[in-house]
Amino acid sequence: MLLPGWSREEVYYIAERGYRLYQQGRLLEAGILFEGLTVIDPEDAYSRKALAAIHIRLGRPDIAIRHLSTIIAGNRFDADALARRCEALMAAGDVVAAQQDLDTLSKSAAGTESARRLRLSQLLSPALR
Amino acid sequence: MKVNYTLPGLLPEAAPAPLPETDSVVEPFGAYLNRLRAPDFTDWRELLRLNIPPAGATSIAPPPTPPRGIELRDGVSQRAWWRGMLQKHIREDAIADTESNSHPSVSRMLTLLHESQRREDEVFARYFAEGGD
Repeated sequence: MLLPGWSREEVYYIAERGYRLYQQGRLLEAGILFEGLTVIDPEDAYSRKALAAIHIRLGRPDIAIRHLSTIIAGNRFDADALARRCEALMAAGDVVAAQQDLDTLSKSAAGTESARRLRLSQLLSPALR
Repeated sequence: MKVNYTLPGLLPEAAPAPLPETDSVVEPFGAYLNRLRAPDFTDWRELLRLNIPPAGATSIAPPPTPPRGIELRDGVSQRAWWRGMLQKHIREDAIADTESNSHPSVSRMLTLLHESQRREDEVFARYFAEGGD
């Protein structure tokens, strides 16, 4: 549900600008845009995922986990959000919770590919199996 | 004197017996080649899979277009659209601020977009002042 006065088209164009800023490495400016968009549309998974990506790159995985958990609370079948949270949890050092997300991913058809990728990325790390 | 150049161990074997009819290739190879199609792609980025965003928690794809689509505009009308949109929301945000009902994150976002718009206008103004079309 959008804040009154805002349209989907406006949200799209601002998100597109945020995306371009992110691609240029202008993380703080992109973060300001995506943070505003999460207020305009709290259920917008795209802006939250983008904001989570920014926080991970800024070394704040705990904030990323909060945003990704909000998405998963709304849609527990969002395999992409689960995979992202699993990575954020690994970055935060919470191996037990990351393992739980990895197990959930492995059980869902949409998450198999992500689970395989995450396992491959952790081949050198004995933390996850 | 007759010299025998053939080594005993390397004598050519007798021709192999022809394969039975059931084991022969049913379709000639040329027919198989005719069935091959060129890769189906419209863009070289698609062919090289550059359109697929790299997987990972720090990668983001372009935003999905809204279900009702977006109105395509040229550069001039797009800038006019941005200006109109920002003016409308900045005005609404100012009213909300007087009623202590504004959202700081939205205000910050609007300030950033407005500043970016102002810089763009400056660039365009300089371009036209220097004789641009």
